Amino acid sequence: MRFKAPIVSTAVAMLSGLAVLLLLLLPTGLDALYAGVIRWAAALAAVALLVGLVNLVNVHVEKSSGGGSEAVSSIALLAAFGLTFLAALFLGPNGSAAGVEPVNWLFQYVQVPVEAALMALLAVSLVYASARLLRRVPNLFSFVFIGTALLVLLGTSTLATGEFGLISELVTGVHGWITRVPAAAGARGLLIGVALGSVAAGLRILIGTDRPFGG
Amino acid sequence: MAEILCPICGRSNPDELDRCAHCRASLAGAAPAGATGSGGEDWLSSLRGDDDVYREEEDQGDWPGGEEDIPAGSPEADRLERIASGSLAESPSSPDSLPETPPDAVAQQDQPDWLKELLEATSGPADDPETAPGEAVEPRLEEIPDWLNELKPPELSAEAEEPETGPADTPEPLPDWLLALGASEERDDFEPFEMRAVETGSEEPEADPGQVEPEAVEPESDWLAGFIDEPAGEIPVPARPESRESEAPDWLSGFLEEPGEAAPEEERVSGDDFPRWLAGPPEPPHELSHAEPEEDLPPWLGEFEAGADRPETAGRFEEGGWLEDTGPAGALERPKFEGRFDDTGWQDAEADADSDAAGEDEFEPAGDAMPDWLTSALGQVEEGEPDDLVIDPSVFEPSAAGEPVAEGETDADLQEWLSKYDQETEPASEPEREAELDEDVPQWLREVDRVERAGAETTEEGIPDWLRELNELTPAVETAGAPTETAWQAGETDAVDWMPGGTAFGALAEVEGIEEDLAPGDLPEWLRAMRPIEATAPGVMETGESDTGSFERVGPLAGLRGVLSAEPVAAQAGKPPSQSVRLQVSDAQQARANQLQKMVAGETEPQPPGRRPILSEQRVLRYLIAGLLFLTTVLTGLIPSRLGELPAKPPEMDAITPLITGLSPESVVLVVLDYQPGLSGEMDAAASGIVDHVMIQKARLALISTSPTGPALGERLMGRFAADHGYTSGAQYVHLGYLPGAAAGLQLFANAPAAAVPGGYDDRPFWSLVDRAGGSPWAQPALRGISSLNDFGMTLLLSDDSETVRRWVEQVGPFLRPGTLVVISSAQAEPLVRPYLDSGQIAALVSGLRGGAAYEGFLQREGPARRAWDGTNVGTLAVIVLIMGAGTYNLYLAWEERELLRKGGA
Amino acid sequence: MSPELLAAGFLVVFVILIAGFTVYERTRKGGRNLREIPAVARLIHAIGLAVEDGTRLHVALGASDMTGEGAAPALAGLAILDRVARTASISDAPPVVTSGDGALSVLSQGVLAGAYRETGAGKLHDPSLARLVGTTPFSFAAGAMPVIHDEQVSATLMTGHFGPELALITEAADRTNGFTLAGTDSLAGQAVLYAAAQEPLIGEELFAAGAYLRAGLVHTASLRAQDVFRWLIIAGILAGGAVKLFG
Repeated sequence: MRFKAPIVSTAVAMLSGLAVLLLLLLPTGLDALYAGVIRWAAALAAVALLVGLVNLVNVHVEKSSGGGSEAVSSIALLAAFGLTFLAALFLGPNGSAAGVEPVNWLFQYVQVPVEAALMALLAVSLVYASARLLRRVPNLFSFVFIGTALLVLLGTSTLATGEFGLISELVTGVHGWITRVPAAAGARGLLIGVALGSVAAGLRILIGTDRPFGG
Repeated sequence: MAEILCPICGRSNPDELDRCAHCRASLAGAAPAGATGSGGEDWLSSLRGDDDVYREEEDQGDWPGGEEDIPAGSPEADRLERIASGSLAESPSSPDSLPETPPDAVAQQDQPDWLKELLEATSGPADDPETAPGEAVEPRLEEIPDWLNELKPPELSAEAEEPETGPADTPEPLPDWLLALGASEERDDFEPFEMRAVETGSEEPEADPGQVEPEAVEPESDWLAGFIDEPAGEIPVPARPESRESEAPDWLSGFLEEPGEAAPEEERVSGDDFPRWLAGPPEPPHELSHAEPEEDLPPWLGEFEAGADRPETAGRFEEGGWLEDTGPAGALERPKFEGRFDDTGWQDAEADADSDAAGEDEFEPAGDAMPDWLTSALGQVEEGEPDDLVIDPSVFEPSAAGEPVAEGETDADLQEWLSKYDQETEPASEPEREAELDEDVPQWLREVDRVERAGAETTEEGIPDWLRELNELTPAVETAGAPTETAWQAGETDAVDWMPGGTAFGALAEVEGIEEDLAPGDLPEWLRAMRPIEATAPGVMETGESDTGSFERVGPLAGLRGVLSAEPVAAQAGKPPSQSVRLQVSDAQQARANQLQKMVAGETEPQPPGRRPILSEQRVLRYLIAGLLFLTTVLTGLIPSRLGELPAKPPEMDAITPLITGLSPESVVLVVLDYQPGLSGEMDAAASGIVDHVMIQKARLALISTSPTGPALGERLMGRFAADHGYTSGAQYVHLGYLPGAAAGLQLFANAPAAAVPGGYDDRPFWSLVDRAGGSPWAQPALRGISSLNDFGMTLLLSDDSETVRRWVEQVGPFLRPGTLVVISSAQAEPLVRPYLDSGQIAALVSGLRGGAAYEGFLQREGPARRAWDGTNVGTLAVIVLIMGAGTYNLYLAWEERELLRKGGA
Repeated sequence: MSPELLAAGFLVVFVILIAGFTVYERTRKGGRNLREIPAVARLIHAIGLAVEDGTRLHVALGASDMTGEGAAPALAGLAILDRVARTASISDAPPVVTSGDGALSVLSQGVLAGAYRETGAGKLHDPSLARLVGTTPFSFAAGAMPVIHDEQVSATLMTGHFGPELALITEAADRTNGFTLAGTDSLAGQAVLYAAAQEPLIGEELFAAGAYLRAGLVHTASLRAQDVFRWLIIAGILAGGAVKLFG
C-alpha cells in the first residue's frame, strides 16, 4: 500500500513529537532512547543546515549569472563560502593542526567585526527609530516608551549623574525601579502569553493540524 | 342580393345602384360580381385587370373592394374565406358562433397545390382545439400599455380630432391576404407562424367576431409581452428619408444609423418558403423624397407628409412596397406578423379563459371608420419607439380628403348592404345579423360587418365609453386619410390583430377574422405579377408623379395602366442630401468643452519629474545620528584621561567574589559561551574581569556552547587570556564544543554530561576525525574528577539572550551545585534575568559593560571594560540628546503634517 | 505530584480544550468574535496591495533554532507564511522567504510548495524563493536586507524569533517605503520592534495571527484555550498575591 507523502510525514512528525514528550515528562526509564532521539534531532538539524547551505549556494549561483551588482555580491559570497568551507574541511575548525588558523582568523577578523559593525548600526537604527516613533505614532504610549528609554539610558551612564549625588541616586533609583517592577512585570506577562502561544503552536503540530512540512 | 362590380374601382355594389357607392362612377354595363370569380385564379383578375383603376381609386382615397366581386361559394371565395378564418378558426368555441364558416373539406379541395403543401406542412398547430386566437386580441382599455400612452403628443391629438380625419368614414375592408402579404415582408421569423396561420385558416372555422370581448383580454398576454420585449434591433430598419434624420426620434435615428442590419434580415425573411417576388432579391432601399413640395402631393399625402415621420423601410418596399402606399404602415408591418402568428399562445390562453365570456355583444370594434383613439394611437406609433413601429395610422384611418362619402352622408349614399350593416350594428339585432351573414354574405363581408358594428359606436355621439377613454389615452394621430391609404385601409385593418397592447387594435383584427389567413408564400403567380414597380419605389407616391393614365411598359406590370412609375424614384435615389451634423453649441458650452479638453490633454502630457532632493531630511537625520555617535565614541576613546569614574559594584555582584576566591587549581569552572559574535564586544568586556579573576585562581576551565559559533568564541576568549595565564588546551582548559538540541540538549547534558558531549571540540581536519585517538574530552586532565554537573565548582553563563539564560537556569540549574551559577548577560537581557537572581536561582549577575566595568573597578584592573567605559558613557549621553532632539524634530513634523491634513480637510 | 506530571496534565488539558473549542467553533454561528489586531488588518491590506501592484512579499522567519524555544515562533511564522503564500502565490511576484536556520529553511520550502500545490499553482513554485540567508541573528539580518532591496519587496513580514537585529531589517524596509510587520517571542526584540516596525505584534499576538488570517478553526480554538489558561494564571497570580499579602 502506498501512502501519500503528507500522511507519512504527518504521522512521523506526530509520533516523533509524542515520543520526545513522553520520554521527557514520564519516568519511562528510557533515558538512552531519549538521548538518542535528541542526537538524531541534532544530526538532522545539521543536515538541514547543509540543505539550507546548498539552497543558499543555488540562489547565489543563479544571481551570479544574472549580471549587475547582485552578481558581484553573489560571486563574493560564493567565494567566501567556498574558501571558509574548504579551509575548515581540510585544515580543521581552528586550523591549529596545520600551524595556521585560517578559520579562526576569518571568524575573529571578519565575522566578529562585521557583526559588531552591524550591532553598531543597530544602535544608530534604534536611535533613529526612537526619534521617528514620535512622528509615526505620536501618542501617549510613544511618549512613555521614549521617556522610559531615556531614563534607563540616563541611569546607565555615570557621566551625567556621577557628579550629582542626589540626582544620581534618584536616577539610579528610577532606573532600578523600572527594570525591577514595570519592565519585569510586563516581561513576565508577555512571557506567559508567549509561553502559552508556544505550547499551542507545539500542540497543533503534535495533533497534526499544523503541517509545516508541506502536508 | 346581386351585386355588380364597378368598372372603375372594381368594387362591388348592389345591382340596384346606378352609380358606384365608392367612386361614384356609373355602373351601367358593369359586370355582375359573380362573373369575375367564376373560374380558377380569376377571382382576382379584376384587380389585375383593373389595376389602373385601382390606382386611380387610390388617389381618390377610395378603396375598391375587389373581394366583393368574388361570389360566395366560389373556389376563390373559399380560399379567401379559409385564409381569412385561419386565426379565428382555432378556437373550439368559434364554430358555434360561426355557422357561416364554410366546410374545410370543400375548401381544401379547391386549394391550389402550393397552398395544400403549406397546409400539410403546418397542420400540427392548427389542430389544437384549445386555441382561440380571436379572443386574445380583445382589447382592454384599461390595459393599454404605457408605451402606447406615451405616444400621444398633443398636437397630433388635436389633428386627429379634425372632421376630415375623423373615424366616421366608411370602412373599406381590405383583403387580409394583402395585409398579410404586406405584414410578412419585414418579418424575420414568421415562417412557422405563417404556415400555421395558413393551416388554421384552412381547417378551422372562423371565429365569431362577436365573441370577442374587449375586456376579456389578459392585461399582458404572451404575445403582448413578447411584443413589448421585442428587441428593436430585430425590427427591419426603415429607410428613413435622410432629410428627416435630424428630426427623427432617437429610436428611429438608431435605426437609420444601422441600415446595414436590415438588409440581411430582410433577405433572411425572404426565404425559400416565400413566393419569389416576396422573397425576391432585395432592392436598394428607396428613400422618400421629402424635399418635394407638398403642393405636388395629394391632399391626403400632404397631410401625411406634414404630420408624421414615415419610417419606411427599404425591405418593406422591396417585397411589399405596394403596401407602402398606405403611408407609414410600411414601417409597422413587422410586428404585424408577430401579433398575428405569435398569438397562438395567447389565443390558447384566451380560449381557455374566455370562451364562455366571448359573447357576441361583447365586442364592438370599429367598423366603417377607425375611431379617433385608434387612428391617433396608430399615428403616434410612427414617432414612438421601435417596438411601436407596428402601427400604421392609415390602416385604421378613414380616408379624409379623398373620401367622397362624407360622414354625414354615409347613410344616404351607402349601398344597401352597407346600410344594412349599419343597422345591424345595434346589439339587439346581432343574432339576426349573423343569420343573415350566414346565408349569403361572404367571409370578407362578415368582417366588414364587424367593422361596421365597431364603426357604429364610433359616431360622434355613439362612441362608447371605452373607446372614448382609449381615445383620450392614446395619442391622436395625424390623419393619413389619403385616398390611397383608404384604398388600403381595409386590408390594413386586418393587421390590427398584431397590434400590441391588447387594445382595440387586436380586437379589430379579430373582428376581421382574416388577418392570419394569407401567407406571403401562398401568393400565386398571378399575384406576383401584380406586384407593381412602385412596391420598391415608395417615393413615387409621395412625389405625386404617378401617372394613372399611363401604361407600364417594362417589368412584370407591363401593360398595366396606372402603375406608379419607378423612374422618378430612380432619379431621386441618388446621393441623399447631406445634412449638417455640426452641433449647435453656445459659448458657455464651448468654453466648458475647451476646459474639459484641456484637462484631458493635461492628463496625457508627460509631467516633468520633480526634483528629488539629493538627501531626504530623514536620511540626513540618519547620517547625523551615525556621525555623532561615531565621533563621540571614537574621540572619547582617544582621550587618555578618564572622563568619569567606574561604577560601583552593584549588590547583585556581591556573590561573585566569594565564589571566585574560593576556587582552587583543582576546581573546574564551566564556562558557557552563548552569545552572538556581534555582541562579543559587550560580552567580552563584561566577562573579561571575571574570567581573568578565575584564571588568576588557576581554576581549570571547561568551555561549552549551545550556539554554533560558541566554539569559535571560546577559542577567541581563551586566545586572549590563555597566554597571559599559561593555560593550555587539555591541561588547564578543555573545549567541549557545541551542544546541540537546545533545551533538550541541555537537559541531556544536565543528566549525563559525557553522553551529551561525547567528543568535544575537535579541531582536526575531517579526514582525521575517524581516528578516535584524541579520546573523550572528559578524559582530559582539565576535566579530571568531573562526572556530573554538580562537580563543577562554578558555572559562568555568558549570554546575550534572556531565553538562553532561562533555558540554562531551568534545565541545568537544578543539577549544578547550589549557588554556583553566575550569569554574565548583555545589558538588554538584564531585566529578564534579574527575576532569577531575585529568586536565588542564580548566585550573581553581571550586566553588560556596566557590570564588567564595575568588577574591573573592584579588581582595580585596566581591562577592556574600563577602556570602553568612557566611550560608552559619552555615547549614552549622545544617544539621549539625539533621541530628544530628533524626537522633537519629528514630533514637530508630525504636528505639521496633522495641521496640513486638518487644513486640507477643512 | 512531580513537575513532569503537572506538565503532562497541563498539556492534556490544553489538547482537550483545543478539541472542544474546535468543535465549538465549527458549530457556532456568527463571527469569530476576536478582538481587533490592527497589525493583522494592515497585513491583509498589504498583501492585497502587493498582489495588485505586482510587488513581492518578504516573509522573514528569523534565525530560530527549530530544536529550541525558537521553534514555536517559527511555527507561528510558518502558519502565517502558509496563509500569505496561498493568497499571493498567483501574483506576478510570489513571496520570498528568508530564514536563519537550516531546518527552518527546509520547512519554509515545504510550506511554500504545499501552498502552491493546494492553490493549483504548483508549476509556479520556485524552491529558491525560500532561502537560508544567515545562521546567526546578525548574519541573517545582513542576508535579509539585500532581499528587500533587490527583490522589489513592498511588504516585509518578520514572524519568528528575532532579537534587536530586526531593527536593521525594518530600517531596510523603511528605505524602500515598504510595509513592515514584526512579531517575535523575544522581549528584547519586541522592545525594538515597537519602535522600529510599522505594525508590531506584541506578546502572544504573533501566535494569534494564524487565527486572524483564518488558518483554520484549530488556530481559533487554540487561541481560546490560551485565553482560558491565561485567565487561570491571572486568577492564580491574584490569589497568590492575596495570600502573600494577607497571609
